[in-house]
Parts: sequence; C-alpha cells; structure tokens
Amino acid sequence: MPDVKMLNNVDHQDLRIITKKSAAYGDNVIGSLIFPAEIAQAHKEYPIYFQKSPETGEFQLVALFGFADKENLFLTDDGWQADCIPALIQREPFMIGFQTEKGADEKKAVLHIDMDSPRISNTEEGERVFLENGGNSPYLDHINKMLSVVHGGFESCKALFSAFLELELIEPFVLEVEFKDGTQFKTDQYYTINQDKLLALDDTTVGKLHRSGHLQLAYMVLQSLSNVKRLAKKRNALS
Amino acid sequence: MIKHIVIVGGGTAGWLTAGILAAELAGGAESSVRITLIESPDVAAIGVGEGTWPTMRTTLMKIGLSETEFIRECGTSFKQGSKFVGWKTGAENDAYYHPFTPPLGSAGVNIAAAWKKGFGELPFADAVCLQSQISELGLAPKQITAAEYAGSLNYGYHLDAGKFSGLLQRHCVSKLGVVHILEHVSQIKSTDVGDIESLLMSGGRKVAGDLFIDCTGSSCLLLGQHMGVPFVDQSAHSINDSAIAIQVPYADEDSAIASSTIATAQSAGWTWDIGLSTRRGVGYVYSSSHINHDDAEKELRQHIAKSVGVDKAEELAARRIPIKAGHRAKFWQNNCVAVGMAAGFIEPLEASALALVELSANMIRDELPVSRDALPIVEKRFNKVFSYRWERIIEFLKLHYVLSERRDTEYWRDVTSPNSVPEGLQELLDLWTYREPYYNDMLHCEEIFPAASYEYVLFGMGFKQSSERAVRKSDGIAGGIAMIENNLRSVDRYAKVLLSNRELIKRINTHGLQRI
Repeated sequence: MPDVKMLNNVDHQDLRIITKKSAAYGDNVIGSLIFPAEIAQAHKEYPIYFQKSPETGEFQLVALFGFADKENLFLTDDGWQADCIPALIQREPFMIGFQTEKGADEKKAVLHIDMDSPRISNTEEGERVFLENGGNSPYLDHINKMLSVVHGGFESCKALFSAFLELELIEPFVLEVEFKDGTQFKTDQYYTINQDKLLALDDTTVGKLHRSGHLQLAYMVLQSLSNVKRLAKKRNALS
Repeated sequence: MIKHIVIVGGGTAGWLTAGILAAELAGGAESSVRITLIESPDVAAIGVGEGTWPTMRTTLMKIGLSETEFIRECGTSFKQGSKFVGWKTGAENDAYYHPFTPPLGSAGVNIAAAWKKGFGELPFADAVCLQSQISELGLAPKQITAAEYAGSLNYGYHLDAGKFSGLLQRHCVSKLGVVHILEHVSQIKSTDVGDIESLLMSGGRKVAGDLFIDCTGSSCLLLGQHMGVPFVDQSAHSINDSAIAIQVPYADEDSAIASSTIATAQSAGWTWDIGLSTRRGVGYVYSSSHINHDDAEKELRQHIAKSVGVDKAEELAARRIPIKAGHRAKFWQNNCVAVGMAAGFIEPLEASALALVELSANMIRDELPVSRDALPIVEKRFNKVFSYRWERIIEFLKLHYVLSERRDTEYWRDVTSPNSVPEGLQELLDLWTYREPYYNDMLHCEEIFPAASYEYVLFGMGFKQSSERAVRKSDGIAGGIAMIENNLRSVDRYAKVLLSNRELIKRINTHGLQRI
C-alpha cells in the first residue's frame, strides 16, 4: 500500500533515496510511458511506439525495454545500462499531488513522496533529499525537473497526437520479433507513424508541422524503430 | 440524366437517405448529382425509432460521421440485441436473448445440434454466443481503446431520434452539400407519363427534380396520395394497432444503462424499454381491440413503476401513437420511391424501421441509373427486393408470437391462433421440426433476418423439434461442443476487461474514441 506524504524539509530532513536501478526496486518493467520532451534522447536507446491508454483510449508514447512482462533488458547487476532513463522512472518515489489553498481557486502542484517505496533508504546509502541547512539537494532539483517533464508532458502529448491524428499519420502495426531460441514476440497493440503518408504531406503542411516541432519528433520516432533489433540482440545474448 | 434528387421529409428517414446518397454521389466539385431535402416546418417527425441494427455502424462510417460525435450528441448508448421477457410462458424467469453476434460455428459445424446434444439445459444464446451474458451483466460491447465503429462484440445503438436527425441534418448540409429547403409542399406536378416533374412550395417557388424520394411518413404524400399506390394492410398478421410512449428519466447520472432492448410481453401486446444514455424510452405496443387505451396506459405505468416507483411512474407524460401495420403495394413507381414509414410500418419488435431505411437508401444509391430510361428496370428490381423483405419481416415478427405457450388473455389466444400464421412461416416451422435452420433456408444473400436470427428466436422460445432426425456427418457435433465449452470459458475473460455500458459512454464523453 503506497503511503503518500507531502514532502517537507522538517519531517524529511534526513531522508535518503536509493537511486540505484534494480529489479529489487521495481525497475524490471517491460516499458515506460515517455513524453515528447524525452523523445530526442530516448529515441537513441529505445524503440518508441504509440499505444492507447487502457483508461482513456487516448494515444501515449511508450519506450520498450523488453519483450515479456517484467523483462527490462537494460537492467544489469550494475544498474540501468543506457544514457537516458525515462522521467517517469527517474522521479520515483516522488510524485506531484494537488492542493487547494484556502481562499484560492487554483490547485497548486505540490511534491509528494511514497514512504512505502523500497527506495526509501534506512541506512547511509542513497541521495540526500535536503541539504543539512534544509535547502533542496541537487538530487531534489533533478527530481523536480523530471516531474516537470511528466507534468507538462501530458499536455504536449495531447498536442503532438492531435497533430498526428489530424493528418492521419498514425497507423497500427504488428510488432513481431523472432529470437535465436526459436521463441517469438508478437503484439498488435502498438501504432507508429505511417512514413508514406508523412512523405506525401504537402509543403504547407510540412512547414507547419516543422515549426511546431512535431515533424522532427515524427522522424525520431521512425528512427527509434531500428532499436528493436538491438533490443532483440540483448535478449538473444541472455540465452 | 438523373442530376437532381429531391427528398421530401425531414425525419430520420429523410436525413439518413440524404446522407447515404450524398456521401456517395454529391458534394464534390466533379459530382454530377445534386441532392435537395424539403422539410415542412408544419409537420413534426414521429421520432420513436430509437433502436438500430449493427448496420448503422457501416452506414454512419460511410456518411463520414464521427462515432464520438454521434455518441455525445444523440443520447446514444450501445445496443447488443433484444431481450424478450415473458413471451414463452409469462412465468417469473421467462426470458431469452436475440443478440447481434451470430452463434458460433463454421462450415461443418451445426452448433444448434451440438447445443442440444451437450448443453440443452443452458439457454441457447448463452451457450452459442458471449453477448447475451455480457449484455445481462450490463457491460459494453467494446473497450475504450477500440477504434470508432469497431467492437469486441457486434453492436448497434439506442439513440434519440430527434437529436439524431438534427445531427444528420447539420452533417448533410455542412459537409455533404445537401440543400435544405424548409417549406411545405403545396402542389405536385406530373409529366404526361406520370413522372413527378416538380413540386410547388408554399412560398411559391418551384422545385424540379429527376428522382423524388418520399420520406413523408405514413401520410405518404408523393407515392400514396399523389400517385395513388395503394396501402396493403397487414393487420391480419400483426394485430397491434396502437402504441403509447413514455420517456423515463434515470435516477441519476450513474444509473446503469441496459445494453439490449427489453421487450416484455404484456396482457395485450408488449412493452419496449430502450436505454439511451440520457433517459429511457419506454412504450407499450398493443391491440386496441383487446385493451382500451386508458387501460393500456395504466398497464404501462404499472410496468414502469416496477423500476421507478408508483409516484414517479404516474407523473410522466405519455404520448399515443397509432400503428397501421402494412406497406405500399409498390415502393417505387416511375421516378418516385418511398423510404421509411412512407413505404410501410410494422411494430418495432425487432427495430427494423431504421434498418429498412438504410437498406432502401443503399439500394437507391447502388442502383441509381444515369439515365431516366433505365428507371423502369431499377423500379422493378427495387419492388421485387422490398416486397420480399416486407414479407420476411412480417413472418419473422410473427415467429415471436406463434411459439408462445401463453393463453392467459384473449390477446394471446388470438395472436397464437394458427389462422394468423403466414403460410411461408408455417412451412418453415414444419421443415425445422426435423432439422435446424441453415443459411439456404433464406433465398437472398442479403437477408434481412439470417438463419441465425431464426435460431435465436426458435430455440429461445423452446421450439420443440422431432426426436427423429437424420444423423449427418456435417453436423460436426464434437467440434461444436468444443466451441461451446470455449465460449462459456470466455465470458469471465471478457467480463474482466469490458466496462459497463454507462462507464464506457462516460469515458467517450470525456476522452472520445480514436478514429483508428
């Protein structure tokens, strides 16, 4: 059961967070949601697909780490072997909660923490959240940055997909990977950019898509698809 | 050349026909056909056609409407079939389903034979299809991740007919180039050969056309009143001549929405209960020679009281609608064709009204000749097809009555009397005593009710077959039994992932469905 508390430098003055990535801390995930601001880095490491949220049916960006439940092929005994890790994973065990202050209409975003997370350190291991003088540690600054990627990400995701959908650039496809040991991974739950349609866009549309930054993201997503081969190689190396 | 199609009547039939034709023929810069719809500001649409068939999904998709918009704007909910309550014996738990998803099976498997052999104690629909159980659980036929018009199970809609024609009108006029004239037709002018040449509007303007589509409802202004095509009364096979409709509000915005139309047998007819997302539409279809209007209304209010309480049921407004069972002797003559209630009407026991509009408009669209010279051929083909379809509808509706064991009122004694059974239906029933219905029993490839529908009603009503029957290798009993076992196992799996009808509609209202 998560035990979510509002973060403050009194109760949490000496709190340390274990940032090591390991299955023991729940990092053995097959993939993670990512946000448009992360594509530029993430597309160099992971295959990035679109999928529909099971709750809302709306499109989301997902980076793939493995081919089976709880399989993260980037995870080794030495941690997560990649140059970038999705913000949604880096921010753990922190989250944004909303608070309405007395007399104010607007909800304010406030940092919360799950005190039941295995990342809460009981020893000297881990990163300090607050400096001895009560100020934010560089680690906490980083967490805030990650959370702002997530927080702003939902809106920018909406804008990205509404542009792609409007131009009918999204298509479903079947992802099928065969491994050396003869086993197979197959799913039809992912979508990607239809390259032919992207190439067929007229100049005015391309110009607009370029200036909104979405054109570059479309190409990065397409480029990221080749990472599935690298991912399969990692899987083959295990057997 | 047929260049201008004029539709008269602005109800669901008129706008649906306009949409179906315009999506294919009109609107573009290169199109050769113009479509005009004339709607009288003085005539109100009947607007009780609130149930559709799954065909409506294809129809709306072709017209180019977004399913999300349609669900948000028309009080729409998902319909998975019909549940018939009290038709067999009238006892407490007497009910069966006619779901939209056809029974399992394939070439080489007679699923009904397998059901009888291994699962006879289970309701037929439950054994051979997932949908009756999913619907009974109040679950929706699709997931929020499914694309518009796609589903896990087959489905149609419950909708608010008034809002639906409004949406179609806006779409036809703004997207499909249909010209809308809001005036009364005051005079109809004919040519020497009896074609309609033009219509004179109450405002004085003349509208000439090459093909006229009569969607004026039961008044049948063009084909009936003007051209004199007679009405063929079918009340001998369909004795219900009246209806009372009451709109019933939900207790609150979280109330469950039934995902099938519930048709409950009453003392002198039956009641419909259609769960829209915004309200329920409930009504009593009855024979006024067996119950007077006031008693019918009383019986309807008692029925409604079971779900909303006596006080609430008493205060809701009721509306009486006469029913004239039958159809025109021909549906197409010269350059005029009737669609919707102008063509005919029969009690809405299987919600065939909108489906017939779709089929009629589809055939006009597909067979529309370029030249006036070819019209007589299309006229002949259209009349042949739709005479056959009306015959089949009348027979299929009658099937719901003839197998009933109810004799508790004069009404049930009369509707089950052998004299009221159409000859064609009696022949089929005799045939089916010795074997199950199969696709070749129906003569057309685009049958209005396929053999599957007959099976659901026959076996739902407990039709007794002879114990003497040929053993056929093609029955594939073992394969059929395996299919049924698998079906029964699948129910839980589906039930886990499907949202309730209410919850899915809420999420569609918030997030929409994706087009892909």
